[in-house]
Amino acid sequence: MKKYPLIYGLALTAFTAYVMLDTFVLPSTYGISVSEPDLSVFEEQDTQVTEAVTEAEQETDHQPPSQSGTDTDSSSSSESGQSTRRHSPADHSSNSRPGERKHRENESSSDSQTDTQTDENAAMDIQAASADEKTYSDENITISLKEYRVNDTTVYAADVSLSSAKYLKTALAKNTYGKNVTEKVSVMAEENDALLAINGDYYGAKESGYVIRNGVIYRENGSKDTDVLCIYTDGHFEITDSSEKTAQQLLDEGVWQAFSFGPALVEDGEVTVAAREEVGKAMASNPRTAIGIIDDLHYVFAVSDGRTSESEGLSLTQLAQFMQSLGCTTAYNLDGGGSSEMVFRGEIINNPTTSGRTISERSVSDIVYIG
Amino acid sequence: MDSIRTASVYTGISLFTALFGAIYEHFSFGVYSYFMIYAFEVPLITALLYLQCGMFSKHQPTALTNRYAASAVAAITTGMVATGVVQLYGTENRLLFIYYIAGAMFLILSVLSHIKSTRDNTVTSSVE
Repeated sequence: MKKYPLIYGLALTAFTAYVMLDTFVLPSTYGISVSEPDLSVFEEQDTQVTEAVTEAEQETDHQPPSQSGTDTDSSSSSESGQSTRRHSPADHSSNSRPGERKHRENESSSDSQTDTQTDENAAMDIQAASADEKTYSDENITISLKEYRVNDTTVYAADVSLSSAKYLKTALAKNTYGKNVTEKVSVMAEENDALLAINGDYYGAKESGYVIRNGVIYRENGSKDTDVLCIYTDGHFEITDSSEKTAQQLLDEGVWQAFSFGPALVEDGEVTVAAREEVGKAMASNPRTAIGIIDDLHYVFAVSDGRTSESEGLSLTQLAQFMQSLGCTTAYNLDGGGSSEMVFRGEIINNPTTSGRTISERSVSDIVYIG
Repeated sequence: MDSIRTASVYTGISLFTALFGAIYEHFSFGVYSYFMIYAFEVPLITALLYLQCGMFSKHQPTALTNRYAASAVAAITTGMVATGVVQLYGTENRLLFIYYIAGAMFLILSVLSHIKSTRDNTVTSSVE
């Protein structure tokens, strides 16, 4: 009995050490094989687009020569489903789902939103920090990277336009699904030939929350009170939570990617985070990562610096306001702090830091990328 | 006097836990955890109970009761600090519940031990 305090103390210390190691260090894989993205789900959409293009071309061929000039107008070309810039399966309204129709209703206000964006930018003190613009463009992907200065913080926003959501992919660290399985964003981006990559939701830090990547369910148990971002195969975004639908239901409905971090920043064009989050967490200034959608297959990837003398960081509310100012109708917060990182064509764009004293990448569980 | 000395020990542990939590929170970039913030209350409440025993109660806790109580306080306080550390990092761990299960068990044992010793003292007094 005299040795009881010593034995108990040692046991408690050993158990605590194991818990800390299990939480932060010891890797564990869950035996789910990670496969290449299954792009067969997009084949039907691509076929529909090809058929629409073919029909449009046939209509053009059959029309009298005097009318052919009007077909090059952007307004008439979009009505016929033909786009000079991108092929958008979401143009086929007969295939739209309620969420998608709801999203398209917001497009009618996009013009008025653009008009108010200038006022909002001024109110939020958003300035273009650099005239230099990094861009990439091909027939399926257009990326334009800009730097902003927001509330004493440098924010990097990539404007992304795609011809199909199949180019919006995710990758897992070391191509393995598991806990404490991590890799640097730049390494994952290189391994997956990513044009643009940002850190994901760090699913490995949680033991619950839907994980759907590239059309595959990796985790089915939901997390209470956590907003889930669903990206569908037609490219539209929806915010839901685990009490509404199961992971399998989401997959059956056409979810391509699902993230469980949050919170949702912008919904239906309105900032939602300030009204729902605890004041403390929403107010803390930190490096942030966010993803948003402006309209069909038109996205924004945003990463902010923080915790340094040059960049203070953003609160969730400021991040939401910034995403709204860019025209996002839906925006979602991903893992931030030392995890926040953006890589564009092999170059680390932001200044990732954990402590604020040194600039270095943090190894994370997953990335979201364009490629 | 033993109970009052024990109360001062628990008060010291409470102050240390509060200080640890405050420093840890300071370096957490604005993120906070209620577990870390309020972990000091467990030894503090225990200190108050021992103070009450020492000042107003006729029956002092036995060595066995003290041992169980110390085990409970150690488990629950360590669990709350560990939970706070995990939460501040933004992650979670299912093993944390073991702290609270163990703490609750030892707490129940200490209460039962104290009740038993109190009854035994009462019987002994009545016999005498």
